Amino acid sequence: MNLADEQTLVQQAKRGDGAAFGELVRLHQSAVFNVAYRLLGRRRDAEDAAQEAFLRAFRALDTFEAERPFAPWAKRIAANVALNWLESERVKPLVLEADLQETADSRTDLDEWAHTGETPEQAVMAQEQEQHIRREILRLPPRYRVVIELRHFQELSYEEVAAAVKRPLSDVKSDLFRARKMLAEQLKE
Amino acid sequence: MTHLDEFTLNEYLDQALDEAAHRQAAAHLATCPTCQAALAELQGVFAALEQVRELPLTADLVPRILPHLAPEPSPLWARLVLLLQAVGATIMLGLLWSSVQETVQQTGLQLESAILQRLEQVLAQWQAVWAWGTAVFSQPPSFTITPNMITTQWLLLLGLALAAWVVGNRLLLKE
Repeated sequence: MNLADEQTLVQQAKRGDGAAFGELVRLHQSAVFNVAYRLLGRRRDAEDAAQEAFLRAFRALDTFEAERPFAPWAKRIAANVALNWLESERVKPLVLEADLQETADSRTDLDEWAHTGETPEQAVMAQEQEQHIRREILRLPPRYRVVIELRHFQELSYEEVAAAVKRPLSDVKSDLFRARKMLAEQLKE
Repeated sequence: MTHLDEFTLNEYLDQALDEAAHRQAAAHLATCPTCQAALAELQGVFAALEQVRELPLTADLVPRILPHLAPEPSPLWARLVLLLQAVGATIMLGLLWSSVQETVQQTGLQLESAILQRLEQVLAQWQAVWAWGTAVFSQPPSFTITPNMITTQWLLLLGLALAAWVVGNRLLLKE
């Protein structure tokens, strides 16, 4: 769907058209879910957070300019929902090794890797490395996880990250650089 | 040799340094093994994060979200405030109707004269309002609403109705 078609859906949704908003959800639910999953680590929690993010987006449509792409805005809301839930302890933090093992639900079907040109051994190693970094992200304090998410996965600038989390730019930079340092130390192990 | 600090290394990788600072950092990195190692460590983190791929969503969220899109009804207290305002306004209009009708029926100079006379009466009685109010509060309440109330009592009643309307609307707008 091109941006013009999406803008039409947004404008219809702004006028209260639930079906149009439902179409926006269908288009972007996977991306929004993945934001929440990277931050929360459990599939069920991530689905609930994604649902909450879309509901907040619907209620805040009046403040959204239809000319802008919808997905980045929805993903930022999802990041804030996940952060709120982590800080309010609405979701249990992943502390047990057993919990962290839950994150190992990345692709397990090696046939999926066949089209990438990698050997099965390379595919397994890549999958293990991905699971490792996911687990290490989930070990970070919530504030650090969110800045990693917004900078690396949503590719926001420092200033955009600061605006999204409503914190001073210097604090956001400190958190981001410390988070990267923590990840670097964990990845050495 | 002064090494690049953590902030500079991170901003260098994020391409967030200005042109001069970037050139300076690049020049230092070209000759400093310690900073090269620190940069490589950071680059390892960037590369590892790039390996995280998106997972497929196995549940459809649309049926879970659509039922919640209906506008939320106003809370009961807000509807009660609105109802009280409407009833109060209707009563006030009903009681004032005979006076308003009489004033509207006067035409031309008579209307102008009547309004000026009314204003003079209101202004003349304004000072009596405070004295009347003091007298009311110093006595046991015996206030009844009738069409023959004196002007000062009407003014006080109108003032109270206006205050209730403003407060009610502030609460409703805030909701």
